[in-house]
Amino acid sequence: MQKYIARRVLLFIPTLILASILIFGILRILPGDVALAILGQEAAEGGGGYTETQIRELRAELGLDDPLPIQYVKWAWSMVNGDFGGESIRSTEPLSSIIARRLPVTLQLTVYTVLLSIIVAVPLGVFSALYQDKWPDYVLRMGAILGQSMPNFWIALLLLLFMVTQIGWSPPLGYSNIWVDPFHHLQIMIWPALILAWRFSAYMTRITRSGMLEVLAQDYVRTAKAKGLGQQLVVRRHSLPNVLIPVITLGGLEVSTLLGGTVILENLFGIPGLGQEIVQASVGRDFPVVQSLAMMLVFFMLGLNLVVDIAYSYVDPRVRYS
Amino acid sequence: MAIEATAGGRSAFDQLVEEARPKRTLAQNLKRFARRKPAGAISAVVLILLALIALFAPVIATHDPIRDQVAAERLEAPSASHFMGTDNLGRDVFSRVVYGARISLQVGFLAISLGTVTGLVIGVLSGYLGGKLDLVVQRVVDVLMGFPFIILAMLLVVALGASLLNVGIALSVAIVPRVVRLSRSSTLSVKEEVYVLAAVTIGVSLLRMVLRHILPNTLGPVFVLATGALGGVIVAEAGLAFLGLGIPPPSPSWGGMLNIGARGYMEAAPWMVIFPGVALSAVVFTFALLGDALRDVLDPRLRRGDS
Repeated sequence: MQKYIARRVLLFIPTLILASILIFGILRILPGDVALAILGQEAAEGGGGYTETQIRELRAELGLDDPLPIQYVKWAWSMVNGDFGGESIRSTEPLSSIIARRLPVTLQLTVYTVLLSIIVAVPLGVFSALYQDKWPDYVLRMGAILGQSMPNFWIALLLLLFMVTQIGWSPPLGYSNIWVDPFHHLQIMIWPALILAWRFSAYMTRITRSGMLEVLAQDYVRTAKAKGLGQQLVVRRHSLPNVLIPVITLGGLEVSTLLGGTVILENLFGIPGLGQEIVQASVGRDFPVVQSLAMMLVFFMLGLNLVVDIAYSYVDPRVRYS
Repeated sequence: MAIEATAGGRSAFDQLVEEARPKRTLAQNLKRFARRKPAGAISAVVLILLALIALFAPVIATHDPIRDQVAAERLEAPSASHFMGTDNLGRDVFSRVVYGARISLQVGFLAISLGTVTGLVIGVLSGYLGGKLDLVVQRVVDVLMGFPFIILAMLLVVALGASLLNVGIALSVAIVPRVVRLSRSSTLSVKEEVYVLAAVTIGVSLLRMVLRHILPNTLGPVFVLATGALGGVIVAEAGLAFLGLGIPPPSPSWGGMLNIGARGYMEAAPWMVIFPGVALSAVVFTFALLGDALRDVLDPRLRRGDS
């Protein structure tokens, strides 16, 4: 077991390094010059021009005068020592403070989504399996297909549209910290969490359903039924525990796909998480922020996969030997 | 039965196989598909319609999607002259949705074809040649799969600059790792087949081996993946445009239209949000259905004794 964990953790480090090289490389294939792109954009917005000295100063400030490998090593080292690649070009806020401010928000949104999905998906999955190929099963499967084929920002817009025009209620503006004003915080977070959870619970319902179908066909379930146990007991004591383990681990692996949706919905609902920041930085060509935040997001995604993999190997020993 | 070679080089065995195989014309095949997979057939028809709409956009659209800006007709509700109302600049939403189909399909097909071809080349070579190349490719693919799809596309758009071509390229890169993984794994299983060994024995060249013997057997699943991914790519394009990172305005991209509509016009002009969104969802939904149907047809493992 320890050997397996050690191997996975050791593999994690080169993966991270490769990911950082890719991110760094992608942002350096920019045809032309980062400094020029930034100044050009600022000039276009402010209506003014820029001078040769400004370009040189910005290049020096961004460290663009160094050879690429040195730029990379400097940046990679700053990701490790907590500097996270310096500061934002536009607001001059240090990236460490941007991340400290915004990361918890994104994590909270993810946790709410996952909790909501589990609460909804597990009972629905069990229900769907018990009524396999009868109408409740079909209704649930249709709902899942709809949830998966409608883009989440479109669902979000429909929801907002419905609330604004039909109920005359819109989610409150501005964001509150959960520790300061939990009610206001939840009022804002609940909508993106619900929308993300629709798609996510569609996936979770499907794996719960198929896991449940598999377990219900087992001999020990037949034995339990044969000795006269009621449906409730068979499901709760003999089937569900065996289904939940793979559901939670497979669900854990899938959590990383939530990130894409989070990025879009944070922007739509004005939630100050990492996703909102990286989009604003991308639109404003704030390269240091884009680069470091992309790395953070990828780090979390890969880290989560690692944790889930290790957790899974506890549950299912076969994984360790493959 | 004795199998003798005939003058034309065709054995009696070949002839037997030929006779045993049911002869079907293309029309018959299509009919079969429609009967077995009604949902797939309907979605195929819808997509052909969509392609026609995109192709004949100038004929179908009642107004110019960009230049016809009538200040007096801003934010008008749907009517006989503007089927889907007008937007904040007085442009006809219907014409913009029609031209939007063009953009969605262009970006979608560009991204899918680029991504699939690149992915196939890398995947098949990596699987067939193995060794160090395979090792490197697999590590890079693993890492790229670890990137959230939209983040990878965003990074590339930021680096390349936003234009129809660049958005297509960015999204194609996001598909490549998936195609590589799939084509590599099917190459690995095909590689073990006896006919590949036979081809090696008679000294077939690498190019011929890959093109004639390996590639055809990996195409089916990749084709299914590509069809399914087309919907995802179209959503991703809309998502990027919605975030302000897609094809820049005034191009009538559905995502860009949703973006403008969502910024303060939701109450005054809900049609600015509803129609592009309906078009987008419908297209994605039909691609998903078609992908499902194709998977059942093209992947023999999933066939349930009905063929």
